[in-house]
Amino acid sequence: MELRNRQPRLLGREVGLAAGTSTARSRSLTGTKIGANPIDVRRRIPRLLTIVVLSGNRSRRASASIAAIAGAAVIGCHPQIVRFEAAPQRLCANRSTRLEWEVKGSADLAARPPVAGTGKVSSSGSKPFAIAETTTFTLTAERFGSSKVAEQEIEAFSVGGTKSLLGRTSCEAGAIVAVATLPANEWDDLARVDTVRIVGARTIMVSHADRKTTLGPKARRSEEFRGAPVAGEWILRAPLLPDEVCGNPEHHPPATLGLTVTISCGA
Amino acid sequence: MPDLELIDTIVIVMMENRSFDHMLGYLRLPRIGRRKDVDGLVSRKEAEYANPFEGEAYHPFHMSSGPLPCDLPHERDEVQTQLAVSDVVGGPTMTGFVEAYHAFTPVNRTRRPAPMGFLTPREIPITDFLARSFAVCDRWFAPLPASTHPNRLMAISGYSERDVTPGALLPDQDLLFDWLDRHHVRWRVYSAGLSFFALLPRLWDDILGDRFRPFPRLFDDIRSEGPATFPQVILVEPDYEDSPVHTSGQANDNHPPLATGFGEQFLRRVYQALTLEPARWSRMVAIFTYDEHGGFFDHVPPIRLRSDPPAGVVYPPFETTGVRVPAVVVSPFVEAGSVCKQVLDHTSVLQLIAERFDPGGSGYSPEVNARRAAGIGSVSAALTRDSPRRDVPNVPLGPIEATAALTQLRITRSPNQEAFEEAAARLVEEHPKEVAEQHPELVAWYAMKESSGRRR
Repeated sequence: MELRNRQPRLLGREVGLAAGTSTARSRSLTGTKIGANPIDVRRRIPRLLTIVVLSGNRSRRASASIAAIAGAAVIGCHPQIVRFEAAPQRLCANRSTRLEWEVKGSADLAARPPVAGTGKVSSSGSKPFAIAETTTFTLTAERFGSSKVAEQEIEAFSVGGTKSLLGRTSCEAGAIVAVATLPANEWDDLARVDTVRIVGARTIMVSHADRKTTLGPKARRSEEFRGAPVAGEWILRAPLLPDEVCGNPEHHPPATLGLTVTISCGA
Repeated sequence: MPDLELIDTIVIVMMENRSFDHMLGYLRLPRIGRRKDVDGLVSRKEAEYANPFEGEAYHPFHMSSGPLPCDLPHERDEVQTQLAVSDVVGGPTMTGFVEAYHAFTPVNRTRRPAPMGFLTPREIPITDFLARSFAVCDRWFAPLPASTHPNRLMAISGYSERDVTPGALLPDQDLLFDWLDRHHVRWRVYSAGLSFFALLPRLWDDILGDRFRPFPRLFDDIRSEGPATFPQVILVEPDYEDSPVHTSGQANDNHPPLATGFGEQFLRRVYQALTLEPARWSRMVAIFTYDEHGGFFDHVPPIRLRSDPPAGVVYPPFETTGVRVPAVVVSPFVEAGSVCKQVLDHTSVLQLIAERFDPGGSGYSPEVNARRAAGIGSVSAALTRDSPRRDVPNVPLGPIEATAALTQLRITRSPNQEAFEEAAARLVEEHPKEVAEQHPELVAWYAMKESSGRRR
């Protein structure tokens, strides 16, 4: 297997350190012989090294070698990830997100699960990717044998997918109010509300996209918002309970209010 | 509580940057720890724990041991964001951890942001062993809602001239070591790497002298040193992630983004050393804790406690303690699997030291006494046995997996890294001969640094 095609987390080798020994035995993590060609190793210093520390003293030689490799990797000009963004971050399955990046050094884009079009990319750029399921994109910047990594996880919804919304509360006359704002640029405009529901016994008035409903012990679920975009401002208002006093550390109302949205993706 | 005269030695082990829920919250989880007596995580989906960010809810999740993508935010203003003080609840809500993290590292956006991650016995078998075998303190807070320097200064002074961690050496405060010298108490520091106290130039002679020793010597000293010279207070230091050199070959202080396996191995070695001689162990109290929460979520709000800057120092007073940190009292004077509910912080160790070594005195210091009056107890509250246990629990000897990063994962060099580098460089420049003899790795680092500087 070509080293460069593997995930950064697997770029390493396992070293077993036995008690009282002065040498380290090493083997590859997945059976692939890493470093068979020393030139390859110098060119691509692995980012991670898995060590299994057995009981007792660690081997000085192994320790020194780890330090030496790590030291070598951090000397010189560091790579830098200046920007790594994705929009939207929440989308319906099989829709596209656009990644934008800028690094100092060379850039490598990978995806878990794999997505077509990833691999070596220019040090700054932007590219759309269609994803079928929730996918984590990893951007690795490399420069003079050192690397930096950043991750963007893009959540893909299929029919019936849910999202928990949450906002911090503030006190108003006789009630607490929470606002959960889902940024429109981070949400696929095809992501639509199917139903909303609350957890718990509290009565909550919900406003969103010029619609309103009241959820509570007798009606925990509502279809009032069906077809509305998920993104935008959700306002949750709950009357104070008889024993609640705003600002009283002993009898305060909750710090947050939330609800769960079932997403339809235009179905 | 035992007669404190039965305690010959107090040992302090202070690791770096993990919160209570992150390390020990699993103790309460129904399918993992099953301990209802510990104030940990009741369930992953508990509404109280949810942190909002951009309208979505983020919950605690089981994370890997690391390494993490980057360090976590934990400077004073970032901790304020994490505490998310609310007029609704009249105090901290502990709902700003995800917000602070995403502001700190916008290039990393996942549904499982690192601050909400917690570990389990699989990742931290030695911490789990200590928690099961000795006394967990589930009301132990970092003294200040701030970063490393303020909290470590509180731990070794009872007050702090700093409210943030700058890239500079530490101010010259009255230290625990000074107190111990004034009270004729023998002390020693065992360091697995470059000591944190290297950031205090006044201590450089000691650091290069006999009172600071490499960690492996703890085994020899416990085994063979006579009672007349054996220290009464011992500080055991890990190999700090922020240090420019790693004598142990690898940092092991558990500072993110470091994987926890190295710290677990270090804790195992410390426990093995302390329990090497049963007679000595039977008269010992060891405290294993962390300097501050390091940006990790904890669900228990800090205690309301005002900490003013000392005279002549200006910074806005702190209104609360810091976030809860993991703390286990490891001693034959505690019951196995017990929990101490007393509110404690790092100055609780100073209280214990004063109770033991200056029993008729007026307490450790006015600052520590003030914290005591405000409700911060002494570690002695955790010592529930009148006589020492006879058993010495066997530490697990199985393999501990850890993944090392072979490259720099920090976004930028932290101020504490800069402080360590300044300390290391000045040590080499001002004490070249002693440093060459005792810390040759520092000389090698310095030469490389100088050479690199000349090339630029």
